[in-house]
Amino acid sequence: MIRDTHQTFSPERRKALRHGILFLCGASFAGALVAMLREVRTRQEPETVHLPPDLAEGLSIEGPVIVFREASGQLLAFSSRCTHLGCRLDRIQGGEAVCPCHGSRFHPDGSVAQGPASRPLLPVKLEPDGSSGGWIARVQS
Amino acid sequence: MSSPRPTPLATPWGTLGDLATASFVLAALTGAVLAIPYDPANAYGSIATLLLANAPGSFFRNLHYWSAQFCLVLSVLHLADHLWLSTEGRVRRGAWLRLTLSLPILVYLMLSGFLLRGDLEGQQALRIVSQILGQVPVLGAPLVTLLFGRGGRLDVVYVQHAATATILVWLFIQEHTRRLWPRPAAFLAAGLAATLLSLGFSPGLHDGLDPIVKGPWYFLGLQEILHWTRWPVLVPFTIVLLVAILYAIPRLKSPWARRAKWTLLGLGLVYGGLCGVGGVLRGESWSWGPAWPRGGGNLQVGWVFARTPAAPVPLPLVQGHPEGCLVCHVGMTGLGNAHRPEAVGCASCHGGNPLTLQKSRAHAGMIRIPGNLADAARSCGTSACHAEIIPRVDRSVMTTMAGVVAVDRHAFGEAPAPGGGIPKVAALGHSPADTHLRQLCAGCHLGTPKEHLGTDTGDTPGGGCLACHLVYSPAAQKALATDQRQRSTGRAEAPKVHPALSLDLDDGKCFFCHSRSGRISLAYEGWMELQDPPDSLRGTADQISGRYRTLADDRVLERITPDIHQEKGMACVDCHTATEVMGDGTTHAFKREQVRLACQDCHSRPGQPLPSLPLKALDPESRRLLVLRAWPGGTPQRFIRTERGEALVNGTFDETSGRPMLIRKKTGQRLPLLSQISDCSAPAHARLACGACHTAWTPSCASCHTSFDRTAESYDWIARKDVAGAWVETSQAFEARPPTLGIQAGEPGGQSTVQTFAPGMVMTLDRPGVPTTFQRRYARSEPHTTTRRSRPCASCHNDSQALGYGRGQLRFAATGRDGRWTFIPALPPGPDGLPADAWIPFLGTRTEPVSTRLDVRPFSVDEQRRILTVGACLTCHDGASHVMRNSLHDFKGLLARRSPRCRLPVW
Repeated sequence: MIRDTHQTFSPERRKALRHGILFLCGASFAGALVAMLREVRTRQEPETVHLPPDLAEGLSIEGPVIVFREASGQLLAFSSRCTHLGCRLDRIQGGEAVCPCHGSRFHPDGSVAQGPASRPLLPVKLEPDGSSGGWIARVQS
Repeated sequence: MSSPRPTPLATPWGTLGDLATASFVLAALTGAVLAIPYDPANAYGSIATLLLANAPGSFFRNLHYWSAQFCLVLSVLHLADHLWLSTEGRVRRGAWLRLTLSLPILVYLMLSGFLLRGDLEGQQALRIVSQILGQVPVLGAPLVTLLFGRGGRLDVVYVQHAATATILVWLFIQEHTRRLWPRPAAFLAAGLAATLLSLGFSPGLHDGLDPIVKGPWYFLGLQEILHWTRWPVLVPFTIVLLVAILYAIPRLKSPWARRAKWTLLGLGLVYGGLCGVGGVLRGESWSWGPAWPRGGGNLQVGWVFARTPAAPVPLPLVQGHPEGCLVCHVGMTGLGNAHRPEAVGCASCHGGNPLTLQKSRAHAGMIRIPGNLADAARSCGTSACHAEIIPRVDRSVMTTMAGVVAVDRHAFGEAPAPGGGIPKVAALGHSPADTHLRQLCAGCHLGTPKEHLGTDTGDTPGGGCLACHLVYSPAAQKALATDQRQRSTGRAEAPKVHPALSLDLDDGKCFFCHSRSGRISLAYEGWMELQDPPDSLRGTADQISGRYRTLADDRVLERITPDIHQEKGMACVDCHTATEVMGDGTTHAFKREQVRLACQDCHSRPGQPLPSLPLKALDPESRRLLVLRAWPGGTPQRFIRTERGEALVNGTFDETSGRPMLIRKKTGQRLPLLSQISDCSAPAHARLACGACHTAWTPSCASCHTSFDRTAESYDWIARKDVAGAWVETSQAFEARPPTLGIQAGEPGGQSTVQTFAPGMVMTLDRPGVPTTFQRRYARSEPHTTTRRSRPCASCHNDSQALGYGRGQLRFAATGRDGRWTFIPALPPGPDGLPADAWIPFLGTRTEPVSTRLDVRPFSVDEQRRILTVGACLTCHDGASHVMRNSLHDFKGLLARRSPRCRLPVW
């Protein structure tokens, strides 16, 4: 019996096959792209900030880090990224860190003083800096 | 018969789609040109250099900007037009999908262009979009990396903007229009419109100083929405949903398609409204307020090819950014180290546009005299400079004059109690009291703008920050005089010497305002104002001859005893700290509440050393001050801790002896601080404030007459214009006399104290339409005439003025085994029956208001009796005698042991 190849590979089936192959190629490409981008992002080095040993009492902004030095000398450090949308807090008003973009305000202990932010500032771990006597903060920018 | 084919909106140069396509192509071509000077690794610097030193390059950037804005607006209108005509069904499904997708890609193109500016707004926008998109589950983080790169770098954004997104949109447009290039007429029209705008309107950069940070105009609605929402991740899903609705419209049945279109139209109108709100009504930190940036982010108006001075190579940099101001104003001196132009530039204070060399554009929006409180937030108070101080100054009593306003309104019968609210002099109304203040008092507050260059003269008190910190050196005065002379002849050159912005404030800065009202500055320097000076002394403005001095406003002063601190060379700012003078951020009702330092903070009690704080405990502002002062002898390591628990930045301890020292702020000279003597802490004097004994004299006038003259003219300091009708004050003779004593209530739970008082508002008030009234109110006063030696005991215990009876004969006469006090006043009675200069009747009290404050009072009858009982002893025993010194520690015991010859008063 002679096989009817025209019937086996009708235009509709050929189109579906082509679309399927294209979809598989596209999905594979997209998957590889997403995987690559995830890896690129994961490999991102944190930004290193050197804090001086004689940090002033109260709140101060040291680039990507907000530092609060209590009267007892204890330090609290936070990322200066606003937890609302990531704007960098760049001003201190009335003893609070203020976001210039949408007006969120944060207490010295990192908690929210005024929205729209609803989450406290991200704490940053400080390591002693043996060379300067200060501290080193590593912040993901 | 078929219905006529709907016709899209068209112009003589083509349809909206033709014009949008032409605009896109123009943007793409000019973008290719801009790629040559643009450097994504130095985005701000490369654009700033273009703006400053490359007019053709600026022109191409303007073309790129305007054609892109046209493209976005025309594309949206083109889409709306087709949806209105319901012609979207004619587009093939695949092509419609790609056209639908081209809309968010076009927005990405616009947004990425905004990010590529690399200025503060671009950086913040990059963080925001990365954060929002990054919150999308699974795909968010990879999409952020794909579209916006990582680490804040702009290389990925640059590639996607210039290549990927541009090529995609161009391909989709070609598929849609079936043309490789736009129609020539449309291209010419779009090009001409963009060119015309580009010749005169240049988009600027955010210079990092403007406190207002905003996204591009088409994202202001989104910024407003994001201000209110706590779920920003909904934004990308909403965008996807809207794009899906748009894609689905051709496939929907008619009623649903119509509803979808109306929904999109409604949402579009609401979004446009929100963009307007964000653009016009939102200010610093997205709060409601003035919305106009100081210039950096605005469109700059001016002929782009105007002749400019040759730009030097390299361009002058300030904080790493090019600043055009320094091309013309090169070599400016005089400002001092902290504010030298090489460090802070010119625009950080004066505003204007630092990214152009055209004089008119550079000076557009410039603040000629920065530092006035009305514009301090845009000059001294920008986020990079002194942002924290300006709100404090705004609330300071030197700005609000809250106490003065409250007392005046109360005295005029317009407020139930002095200090019932906290008014502001800038918000005065037009009541009799407010008009009185507007004409006679409101000139002296920090909110009064300085309007003229040069040193302060009679018409320019106030000036915000400048009132204290602007110092004209002789060289700066000479440069100003030269400049003004040249301007009158039309040949002006930029002056080369700037007045200094200095921390070294001499007392002359305070003198201008504080030589009035309470005359504190006069008293501190030992000057007594004469009401009727010899005519020969008038008209010799600002001169000192012998023991007389004539001020610029023609007041004549006579030299008497100055304050001991002034004699020792101390300036006002040596005691009055920065926090006190500029405010602590709290709105106080009265000046006294804002004062931070007390005598005992520097003069320790016997046997009690002054408490101290280490250097590391200093607040940031004090630390900055220490660095700026750089006093000789090195940075102090220990500081005096005041009773408020604050560190006194110029109060320290000698490192070897441990003795407390005060550092003169201007010179760094260290003065030893003396401790109190034992008498100060004796039980009998426990309630006495230092000033009660150590104040030599206080300037006072017994009473005054305040009336309103309808026929005269006066100057309204708030409206800053002449007005009809004038308040006129006439007073009795001024005199220097020891202060009257009275009682100041303590803090809740605290002890009341004996303080110094002077006639405050002893006046006849003659207002139109209201019966003439008389009131007799004394005011708490701090005359600033401190002496090292205290006043003698008898000057309080046996003195009619100290007790509040006024001048006269206060006598103690023995009557058998007892004695009796009598008083004969020297002055005739006033309208209320009391002697003209009295506060209270002899051994009596008053029921009507007695003071300009609610928490002070004259001595009660019982207190008068107790004081006069000691006074009776002093009629025989000298104040320095053994008996009287013992009385300080145990007066009751002394009375019990008194001699039979002693006579005590009976009442």
